[in-house]
Amino acid sequence: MDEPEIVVDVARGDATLSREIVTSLRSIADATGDPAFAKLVDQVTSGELGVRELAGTEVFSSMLDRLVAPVLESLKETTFEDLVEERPDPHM
Amino acid sequence: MSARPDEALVEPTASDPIPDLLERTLGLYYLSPSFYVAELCKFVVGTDPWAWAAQYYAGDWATVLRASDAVDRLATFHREYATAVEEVHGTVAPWSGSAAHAAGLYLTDLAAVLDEQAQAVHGIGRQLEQVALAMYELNQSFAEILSVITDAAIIALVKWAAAGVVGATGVGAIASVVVAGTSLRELKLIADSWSRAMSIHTAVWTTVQGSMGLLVGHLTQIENIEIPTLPAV
Repeated sequence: MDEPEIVVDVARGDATLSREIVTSLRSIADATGDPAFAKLVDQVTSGELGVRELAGTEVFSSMLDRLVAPVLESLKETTFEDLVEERPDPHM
Repeated sequence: MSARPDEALVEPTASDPIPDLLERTLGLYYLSPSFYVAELCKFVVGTDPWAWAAQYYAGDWATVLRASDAVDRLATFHREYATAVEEVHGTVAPWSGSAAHAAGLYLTDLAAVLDEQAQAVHGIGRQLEQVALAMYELNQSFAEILSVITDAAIIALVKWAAAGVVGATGVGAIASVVVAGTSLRELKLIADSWSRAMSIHTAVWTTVQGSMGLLVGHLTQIENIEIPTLPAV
């Protein structure tokens, strides 16, 4: 898609990160096939809507209910410290 | 005669209004982060930063600042009172004899005691002001840190969700790999920001404790000040 690139609010000026976020949002919209979510993602990419605002919507919450709740649930079996040790960040 | 001492006793004000600073800076959203943002932070730092900040810092610091102004005006009242007593003493100076001597001693003592009290009360006002201003600065720092944490948490949640739909193995099975592989930078940012918040908290808390110590010292000083009794006839 050929549209002027915007840097989303939560990326705080980091264009690469912003691109990564937008790509992630698009793939969620495509995979879930939720037209309401897709519409909000369009608004984000056009700069009409901030990701912070998106995160505050019911549509976003119910997407998290489906996709992220199980992730959080399984994280109860590990700790953040263990995660960091298992996978040291190459950038740091 | 100078201005009446009680003219110092006027309605106190907060010179730098602080009402609901945290709420104002963060906006409603940041104070009520979505359930998942809070849960993600609990996983990383072991606590919900918003609940924590609200518990420690939600307070009417503007009222503390007003109180410091009120106490300071009380100190000014005492100082003016001391000055007024000294002036009265000067006025009755030509009076002589033992009664005059007793009255003179009484007025000198009274002025000295009032002045001492003024200094202690002024000290209390200053410490209250320091506490309020320390909380003000701390609220500003926390507001900034919480907004960084919120943004990082939102990004991590988006990445998790995206990885979840892409992964063919089922969300539960890939959870820790997803988390470690996609969002470690965000999670580390949250952990580092929170650790910075804790350092600031400790530093400010030490300052506040110091102020409270000085304040209690001034209170003890006031308790030990004895107002001289009027000379017996």
